[in-house]
Amino acid sequence: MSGVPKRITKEIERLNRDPVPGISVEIIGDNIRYFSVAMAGPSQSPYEGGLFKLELFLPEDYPMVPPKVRFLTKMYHPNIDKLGRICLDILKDKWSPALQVRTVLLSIQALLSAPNPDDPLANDVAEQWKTNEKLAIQTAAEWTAKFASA
Amino acid sequence: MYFVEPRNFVLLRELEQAEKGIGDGRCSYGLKTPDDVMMYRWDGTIFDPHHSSSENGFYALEIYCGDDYPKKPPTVSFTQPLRMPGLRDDMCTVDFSAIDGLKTWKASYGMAHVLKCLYNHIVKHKPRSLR
Repeated sequence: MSGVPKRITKEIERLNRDPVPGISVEIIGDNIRYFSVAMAGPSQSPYEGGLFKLELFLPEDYPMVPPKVRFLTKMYHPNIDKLGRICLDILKDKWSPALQVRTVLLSIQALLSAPNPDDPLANDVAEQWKTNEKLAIQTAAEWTAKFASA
Repeated sequence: MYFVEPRNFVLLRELEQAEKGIGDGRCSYGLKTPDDVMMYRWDGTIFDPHHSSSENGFYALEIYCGDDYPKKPPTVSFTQPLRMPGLRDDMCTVDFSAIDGLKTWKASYGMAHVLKCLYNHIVKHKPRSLR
């Protein structure tokens, strides 16, 4: 493979020109497929007020395969595990080459607003979310203050 | 511009591979603590083909993947001292330059390859326990 696919450079250009609100994306070092992402916690969610770090990588076969992305900031969320891995259908079997980095980041932001404890990755967290949602949301807010203060 | 898979995503891939099980089951590895986000410290095990100098039939190893992994090899050491060639003076830490298959490190090797080479080394040299 020679050079970076046009598809990737175009996506980066557009992300710079027309950024997603609450999300900043930066290339890490000299690897144009590797990004550091900072995501503001959505308002009206227990993640509000937090700034969450993620890393995102576009594999060699992108866009035929989805981007790889995970949180680096500790999260209390039923669909995010202890290593920051994210359970999201478009990052797996629902991926389509028509989707973009932008779509992925928007979906992750939406997942913070709407946790889905019925499709958990972190089982203990999902259990808490189902049995005592109020306490789960309180814990998520505490973790946000502790680990993600902007 | 060449293609480079970043360290953290290499290690996430290796972790998934380890969770599925590697090779014929004679070697295994996993994160030492499940919330080590930077994935530095790993535990490895190698089946003892001689049923002799190991504890419980397996050799236990500690693997450290630094910030330069996989460009640089991991640091690998047995948790018990052994009399066997290919180890440094502490009789635990593996000297990659003395192990067949590891003498010239390649970023594509991964921990599965390291453990497999060590297994072959153990088969060949039959270590003796120093405990």
